[in-house]
Amino acid sequence: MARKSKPVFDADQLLNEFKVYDQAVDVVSCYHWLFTAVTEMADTVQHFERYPKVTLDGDRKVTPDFTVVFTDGAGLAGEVARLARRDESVESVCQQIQGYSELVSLPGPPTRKGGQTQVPVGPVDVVFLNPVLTIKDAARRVLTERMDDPDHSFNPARRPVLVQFSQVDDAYVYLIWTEGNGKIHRGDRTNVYGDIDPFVCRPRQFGDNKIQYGFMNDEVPALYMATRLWTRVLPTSFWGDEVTVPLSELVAAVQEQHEGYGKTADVRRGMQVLTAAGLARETEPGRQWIVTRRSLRRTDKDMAAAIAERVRKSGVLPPPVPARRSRRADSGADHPTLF
Amino acid sequence: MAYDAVLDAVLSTWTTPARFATFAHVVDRAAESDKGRVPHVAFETVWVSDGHPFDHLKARAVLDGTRRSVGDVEILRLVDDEGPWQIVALPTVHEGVFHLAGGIPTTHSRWQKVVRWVERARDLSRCFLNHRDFRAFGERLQKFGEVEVVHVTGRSSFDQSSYFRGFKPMSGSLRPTPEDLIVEFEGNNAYVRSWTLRVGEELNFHLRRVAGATFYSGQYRLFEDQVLAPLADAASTRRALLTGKQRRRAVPVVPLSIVLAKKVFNTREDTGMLVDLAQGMADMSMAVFHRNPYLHFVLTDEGDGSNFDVMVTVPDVVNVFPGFRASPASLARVTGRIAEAFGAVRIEQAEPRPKASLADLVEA
Repeated sequence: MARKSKPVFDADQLLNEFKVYDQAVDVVSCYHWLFTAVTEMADTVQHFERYPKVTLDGDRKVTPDFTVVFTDGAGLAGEVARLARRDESVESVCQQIQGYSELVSLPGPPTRKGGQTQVPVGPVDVVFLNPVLTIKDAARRVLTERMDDPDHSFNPARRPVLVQFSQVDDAYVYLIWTEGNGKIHRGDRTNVYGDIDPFVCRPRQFGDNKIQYGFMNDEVPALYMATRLWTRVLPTSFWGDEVTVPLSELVAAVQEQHEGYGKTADVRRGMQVLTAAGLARETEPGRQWIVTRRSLRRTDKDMAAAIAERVRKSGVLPPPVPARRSRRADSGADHPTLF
Repeated sequence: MAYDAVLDAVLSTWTTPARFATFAHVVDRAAESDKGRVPHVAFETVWVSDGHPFDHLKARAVLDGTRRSVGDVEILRLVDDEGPWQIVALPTVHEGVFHLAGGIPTTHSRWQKVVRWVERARDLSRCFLNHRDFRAFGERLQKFGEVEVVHVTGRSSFDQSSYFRGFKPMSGSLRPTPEDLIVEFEGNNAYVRSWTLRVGEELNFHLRRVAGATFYSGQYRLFEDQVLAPLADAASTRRALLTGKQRRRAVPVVPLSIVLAKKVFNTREDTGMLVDLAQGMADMSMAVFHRNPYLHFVLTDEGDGSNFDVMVTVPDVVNVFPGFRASPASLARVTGRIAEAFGAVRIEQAEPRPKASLADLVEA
């Protein structure tokens, strides 16, 4: 009988997910800057939400990558994605867009008590962002083959606005797709997104947002979370050579240091990577760890690479993302975005 | 290296304020004891957030170390294989700012130990002087005599190579002025790290960009007023700049900007020098989040857990964003090392980001 091979973590995949997610954080940070710091645009915005969670109907929730409520009552939902070749991935994206287009309320400004109002909106435009490499494929498969097919179930109230992005030197360049694309509802606004096209955003403009918020609204890749935990959250809130770290307190610390964002599942997964790397020991399964602070410089001088390498060498595969997840209209589990 | 231990000998007798009212009186007595020849005195300007510098200084490779107070001055008596010697901590008019002084040449192994102890002390900080402050010494001293540069050292802002120039006295002509040398070094994309200045017959001293100075000869009280006092002012300003900078939730982040004299970071290879510097900091861990074309990494101080986001988005500024745990001493180490490596003009708190306009969305 052949010996069962030991699972080996793919360090390259961990690092690739890290890099791609970081770029998505940049993209959301660019739009965050556009809608809050560019005077003519900010004047039209009632609220920009970086981490939206919106109830569609009943208990169905959707989580666009960002939302905007405009002063004239219109709304915008943004989604950063990249299509995979599988048709299921396109169907999944279309379901997301469909769901966003049916939204009748979006997150508004925070209340005095720390809650968040839901503001009635209408109409809602969906901005669907794709890397330049996949934009033609996205246009054909989403707009031509599904939106324009009267027999296809994909039938959002408004045509989505497809946007391609790329990097030129240090700038992110966003260009609205021209053929068969949707248009941003102008309403009563003097300036709307797309009037300046392409829109160019540089790190010196979006950098502050990236530092302050740290994440975007998609599932945080395990190594990205593990690196944040190891370099920022644990040293800040659980400093010591050997410290006990309960999950609930760690999640609270992540949220405190990322303007309220930090999902329990993402934090747990980050800790599982640190455990696989031999930097933490689980004392209560999935709920509590003992973290041992140590130098990783001998493995690699870059901590993200060092953690990935230690995981690879340990040969321990962190547990997969649990199959059972809370029901969501845009469940990210099978959504083929890169982010 | 042997040295004249006259000052050390006088210091060993300074046990009460009644004997010598101030350190200047100690210097006077040492000069009297040595036929009017004033002693060399080395100074390192340091600052602390809490406590006294000697609380944080860990003297290594010594046989014995004892502290005594004389008024508000503290003296650390050390004993090594060659016998006893002393370091004095002189308070300044600024809270938390001190001059560490000794009658030992800065090139002597004993003083070099002191410098290493200061560098290793977690909660003891030094001050890399802003260019304007460093330059001001030459200008300020002109009213006391012709200011000449005797020696000057510098460093390239681009490849960290060293520069040195020395000027012999020549009858009938003066040596270059500090301003001459600044212009010359800047023309070579370098910055001045230290210089020995002669102010007529009044003063002869060495000044270092990582704040400190050595009094060689002349009027000691002029040196106190015109060199030590401005060094303390600069350290106090830096202490205030770096204190209480840890982040708070829902408060917009504002970085500390290390502004360079030259546009150093133009390519991936250029920013690689900063990555190399950060990765060479043995007391820090570093994680790169974005490497190209802009640079973003996180530094974690493995001594006290302080953490910082470091970002380079323009070629002549390194922005350091303090994290939710950011001690002043750790912030001083990080900003000071970057400033020294690349010849910063100044370290300052950045202005809050101004609102942009639609015109900023267009490719420049």
